[in-house]
Amino acid sequence: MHLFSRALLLLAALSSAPKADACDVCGTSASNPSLGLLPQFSKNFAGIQFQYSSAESKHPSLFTGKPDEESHQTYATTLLWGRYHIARRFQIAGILPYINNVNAETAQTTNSEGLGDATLMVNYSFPLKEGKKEKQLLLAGAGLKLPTGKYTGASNAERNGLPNVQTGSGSWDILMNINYTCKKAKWGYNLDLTGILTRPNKQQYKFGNRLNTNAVIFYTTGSKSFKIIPQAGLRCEYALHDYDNYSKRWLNEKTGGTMGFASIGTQLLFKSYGIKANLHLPFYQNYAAGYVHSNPRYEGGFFILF
Amino acid sequence: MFIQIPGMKGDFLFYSKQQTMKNTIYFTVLTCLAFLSCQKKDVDGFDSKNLNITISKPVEAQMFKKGDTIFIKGNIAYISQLHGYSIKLSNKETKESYLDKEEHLHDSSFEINSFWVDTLSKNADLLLEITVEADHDGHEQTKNISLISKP
Repeated sequence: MHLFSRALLLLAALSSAPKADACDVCGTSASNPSLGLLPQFSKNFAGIQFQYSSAESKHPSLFTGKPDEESHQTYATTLLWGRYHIARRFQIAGILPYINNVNAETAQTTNSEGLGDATLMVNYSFPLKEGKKEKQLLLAGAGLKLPTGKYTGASNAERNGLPNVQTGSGSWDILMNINYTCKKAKWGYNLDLTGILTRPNKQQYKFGNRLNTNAVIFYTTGSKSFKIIPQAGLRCEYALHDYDNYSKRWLNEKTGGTMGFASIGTQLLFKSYGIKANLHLPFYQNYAAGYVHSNPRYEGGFFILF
Repeated sequence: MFIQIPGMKGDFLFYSKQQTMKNTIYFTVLTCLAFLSCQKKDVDGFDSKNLNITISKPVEAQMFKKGDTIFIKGNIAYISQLHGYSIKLSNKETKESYLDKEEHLHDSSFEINSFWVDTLSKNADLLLEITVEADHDGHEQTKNISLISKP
C-alpha cells in the first residue's frame, strides 16, 4: 500500500533525479513519485506502474564570464511491484524498477537506461478497533533499497552521467514508514510518513536523507464488483544535501530542498483487477538552492489482486 | 500528521489510548530526528590561505618564439573539495584569447597538464591565468604568469 509508495519513492529518490551540467547544482527534484493509495489491504497484489516526470535547471556557470548552464531532465520509470502477506499482520513488499533517464544540456545529451535499485520492505499492521461505519488501518514498516542499479560514479559527472540521473545509487539504504488510513462510509483519508536513511556508496557519494509526507482524501463509489475511487491530496518532500564524498564530509549544498505537490487521481477496480492514474502538480519548490524546477509528475498503473 | 491518530475514534485493541499516542509520537519524532539530523561539513566557508596553486612550467617572463610549445604544468591543492579550474592564455594588450580551457572536477587536488603552440607572428606580451573554483558561490583564486612571445 502506501508503504509501497514510500518504498518506491525511496527508490526513485535514489535512483533518479535531476541534475545540471555543473554537476553540483542538482537534486532529486523529479524523483519521489507516489504510487498513491491502494485498496484491499487484506489481499496480495502484483502490478506494473509507469511514472514520468521532468525538471529544468538553470544556474550560473562555475566559471566566471561563462553563460548560464541550462539542462532538462526527464525521468521515465517502469516498475514491477507487489505485496504478499507472509502472516496475518505481516506483509512483504517488493519493487523492481526499470529506468530511462535523459539529461539534455546545451552541449550534450546523456541517457541512462537500465535496471534500477530494487526495494524490499516488511510491514506490520497494528491491531485496531473497527466500528461498523469506520475502518482503520495503521501500518509501520521498514525496508532496504538494494544497489541493483548502475552507478558509474560522480567524479566524471559530465562524462559518465550525473549522480541523480543514473539508474542506481550504488548504496544500501534504509526505509521506515508509518501509514494510517481511516474510512467512514464512502469517504476516507490516508496519512503517510516515510523516511529514507541513505548510506554512502563505494565512491563515497551519499544522497541526502529524505522525509516524505502524504495526505490524501478519497471517495469510494460504484458497485461491489466495480469501484471508482477518486482521490486528492497534498504531498511534501524534504531532502537533505548530498555528500560528494561522505568520508571527507564534502557536503554539496546545491542539492536537496523542499517540494510541495497537490495531487489528484483515481482508481478503477473491477473484481480483482485495478488501474490507476495520478497527477502531481508542484505548488511550492525550493530545491537545489532554487536552481531546479520540477514539472508535473504523471503516474499510471495496472495491478491484480489475489 | 500521525499525532492526530490517537484523537480519533477507535483505539488500539492491545494498547491504551495514551500508550498508543505516546508510541506514535515517539516513533514519528525519532524518525524525523534520525532522518533529518544536522549535516556535518569538513570546512565552513572558503579558506583562501589553504589553497595553493603551484605552476612549474612556464616560469615568469619566460620567452617563446613562433613554433615553440608552451607546456603548462603544475599542481593545485586545497584542504577541502575543489570544483574545477580554468587555464587562459591571452594577449595582455589586445585581450585576444589563445587558450581557454576549463576542467570541472571534484577533488582536493588537481594536476595541471596542458600546452599551447605559439603561432604568433608579432611580438606580444602574454598573460597566463590559472583560476581555481573552490565552490559554486564565486569563491575562486587566480595565479597569473606573464610570458613573452617574440617570433
